[in-house]
Amino acid sequence: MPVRKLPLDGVRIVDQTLAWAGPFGAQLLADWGAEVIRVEPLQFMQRATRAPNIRPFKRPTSNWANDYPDGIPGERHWNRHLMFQVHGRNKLSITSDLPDPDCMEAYLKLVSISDVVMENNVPQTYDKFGASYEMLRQARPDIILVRLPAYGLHGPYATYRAAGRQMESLAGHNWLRGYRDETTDESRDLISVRGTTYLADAVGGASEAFATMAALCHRRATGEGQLVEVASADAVVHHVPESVIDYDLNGRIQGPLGNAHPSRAPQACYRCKGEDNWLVISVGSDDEWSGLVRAMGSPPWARDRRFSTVLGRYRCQEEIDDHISTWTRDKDHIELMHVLQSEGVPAATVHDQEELYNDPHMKARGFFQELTQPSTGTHSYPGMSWQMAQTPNPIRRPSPMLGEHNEMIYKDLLGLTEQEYKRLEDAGHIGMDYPAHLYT
Amino acid sequence: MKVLDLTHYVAGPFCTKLLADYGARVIKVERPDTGDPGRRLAPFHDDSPTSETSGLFRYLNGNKLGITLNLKHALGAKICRELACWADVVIESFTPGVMERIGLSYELLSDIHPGVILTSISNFGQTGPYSQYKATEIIEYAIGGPMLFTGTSEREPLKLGSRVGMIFTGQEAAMATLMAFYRRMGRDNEGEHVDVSIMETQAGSIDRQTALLVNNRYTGNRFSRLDASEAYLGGVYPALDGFLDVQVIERFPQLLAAMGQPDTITESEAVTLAQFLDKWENAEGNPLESGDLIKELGVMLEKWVRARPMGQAWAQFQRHGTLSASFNNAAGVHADPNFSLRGLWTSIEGANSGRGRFPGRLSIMERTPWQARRPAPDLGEHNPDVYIGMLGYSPRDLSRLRQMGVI
Repeated sequence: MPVRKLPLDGVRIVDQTLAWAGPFGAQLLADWGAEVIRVEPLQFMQRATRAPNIRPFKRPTSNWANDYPDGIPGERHWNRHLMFQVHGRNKLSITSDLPDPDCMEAYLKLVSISDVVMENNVPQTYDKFGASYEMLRQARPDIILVRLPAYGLHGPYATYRAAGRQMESLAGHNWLRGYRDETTDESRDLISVRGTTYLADAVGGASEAFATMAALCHRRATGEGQLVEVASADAVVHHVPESVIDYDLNGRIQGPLGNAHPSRAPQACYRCKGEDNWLVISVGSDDEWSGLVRAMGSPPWARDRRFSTVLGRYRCQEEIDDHISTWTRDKDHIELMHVLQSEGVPAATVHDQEELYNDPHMKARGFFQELTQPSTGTHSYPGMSWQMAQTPNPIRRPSPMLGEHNEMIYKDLLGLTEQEYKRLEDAGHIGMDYPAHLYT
Repeated sequence: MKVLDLTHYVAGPFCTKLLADYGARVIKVERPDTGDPGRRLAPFHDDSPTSETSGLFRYLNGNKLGITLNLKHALGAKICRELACWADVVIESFTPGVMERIGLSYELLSDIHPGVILTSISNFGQTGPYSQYKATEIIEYAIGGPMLFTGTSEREPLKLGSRVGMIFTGQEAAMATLMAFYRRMGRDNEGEHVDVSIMETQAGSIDRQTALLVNNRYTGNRFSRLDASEAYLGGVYPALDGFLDVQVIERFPQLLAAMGQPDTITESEAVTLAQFLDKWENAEGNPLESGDLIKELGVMLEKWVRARPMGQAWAQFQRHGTLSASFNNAAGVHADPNFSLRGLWTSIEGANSGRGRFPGRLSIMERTPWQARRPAPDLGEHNPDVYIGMLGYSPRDLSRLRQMGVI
């Protein structure tokens, strides 16, 4: 097979995204060949991007999103915090303090030789950088500017601050998640909404990357650039269409279903042998039910006539769940998954992180990839979100250190003279360290 | 862009919907008589299920042409290959191996139509030991996503709402397809077989699986569900006329200022809640443990929200930069002025399905705006247009094909 260039080879993207959503969108484009250049301020740290905070955490923390290799912040902790390492790979990093006039000149020079500019700041924050779509177009008439606000560039909430959870609350997803018995009309204090797992950042980032691709295809066909706006909250509504459509068509307000399915049963998460080991089973058709009964050794209770139809099982799901729980409780969750799958039953373990790294299927597909980064060492990382069979695609480079590519981009690509470069450096715009007074 | 759409249910149709929404010509192929099983997914117009009244199906399949074709019939597979030669992109969501069995493998398709792009969406990918395993959305979130981390430690792991994992996969598949298409636009005849595994879209998602996975490699920690009692400030509080979601992780003094509590805490230099708690615990003479303090602050917060209309409380928090949002159910989403004024909704009416107010455009694109060109097709609606108009069959051929069970 001839080696093919990656699909976005030759596309240059100026990346001014922050936190989770924007950087994830840029990561998907970088993964498939775009030259993504992060333009990062040096005089302050973008919120929740290279780390949650410019001051390193001193005490050990068990927070999932807040750690360093071996728990040690080390020197330049912003190059070691996992927050950036999960989405920085395949990107380059330069520093620049917009709207400083010298920085702006270099920035517009970079825009003039780029295809796409991406950002997801609060709209008025982006305006404070001093750039605008009109300015970018003057630098590069066919530029594509992709903006990913939480609620929109305009509209009643344009200035509102939000993280992923707020966008999901507004868009109705948080109303739909949670244990079935957790809510009442009076109380909606969902533990499941309290700050662990979100959806909006992945959805916003993927929507942003999709829109970027649509704009790139249009430009390749017509030569036209454009302004693209993706509001993350809009994208979340598109991810829960059943609920808003049911309300419109039938006036029904759907609530949380827990792990149940609107038409398949039994479907639930069952405890297995060990501390915190679980198996998910999802049965719909009669064939799948028969497979489950066979896997359980055809126990007498399963011959109950009420369980012989899809509707009957749906009505009796709690009773069936009790029987299945009794069966799974003393069994190995991973073994059960394979037993059930061999009988044609949709089933899977609830993998912990270790189990996913060791999963033979993920290994066979080469999902995880080892990367060595000077500031974090050698570790295995999640790889591509999909594969292209004709285009093998290992991760090309680990996450860049802050300002790692300053010389390469400013001097080699933009042609700044030594003097011009030094002036930016002396003014504190180019470097690899935030000002010490910010974090010491 | 011309797309031959062989997908069914949710993930594949959402992928081709996005392409159709932004201008692709999509021909959706359904099996004769029963059609896409997605036609049987609730909710239905007026709760009356027919093959044309699934609101979800209609949302997922707008802007597409719809034909029927039996791919298991040799003649059906042959016609499908003709259609594949018309298309730039073929998108399918069968169990791996099915496309080979009906003579539509990537190798064969690229022989008869060099440069074709085939996007395959499957539960676990085209290769590997689980490629024949069965799955639904919860299965994929369990094995690939952060389900162990979702919910509370006192109870079982929990999935997210509706079928978000499937929609998310469809979106990534659409983006991957456009990447392959973009390359082909620039360099002739470079085809591709895009292999989308739903499990991998979950494992590669930034919400929050990639962070948990990387953290595990960095620290060796296992990340499972948090305790319900874990010190945490914020929640979903009832206001006079709705619910407000408040989350306090930073700008802690500002929160207190918003509630009109200017005291020593407000004057503290601490910026984040964590820093504040650090200071609190290290200071002499504080009567409460930080966990109890959080609880006390939570009670105060709840009382404050309860006494106010939701919109007023929300605006007040926003003025002081506290993360907060209206906690909407579906009625609230429909009534929300921000979604309405910015044009999220569209009204779509089908001859046999009634009118519906659906989510319309996803992104706002200056030059290539979203358009509602046609409602989702009735089963086989465009058979004459495609078979006679496009492929050149005669009306008599059509009725013969129908008799033979091919269409």
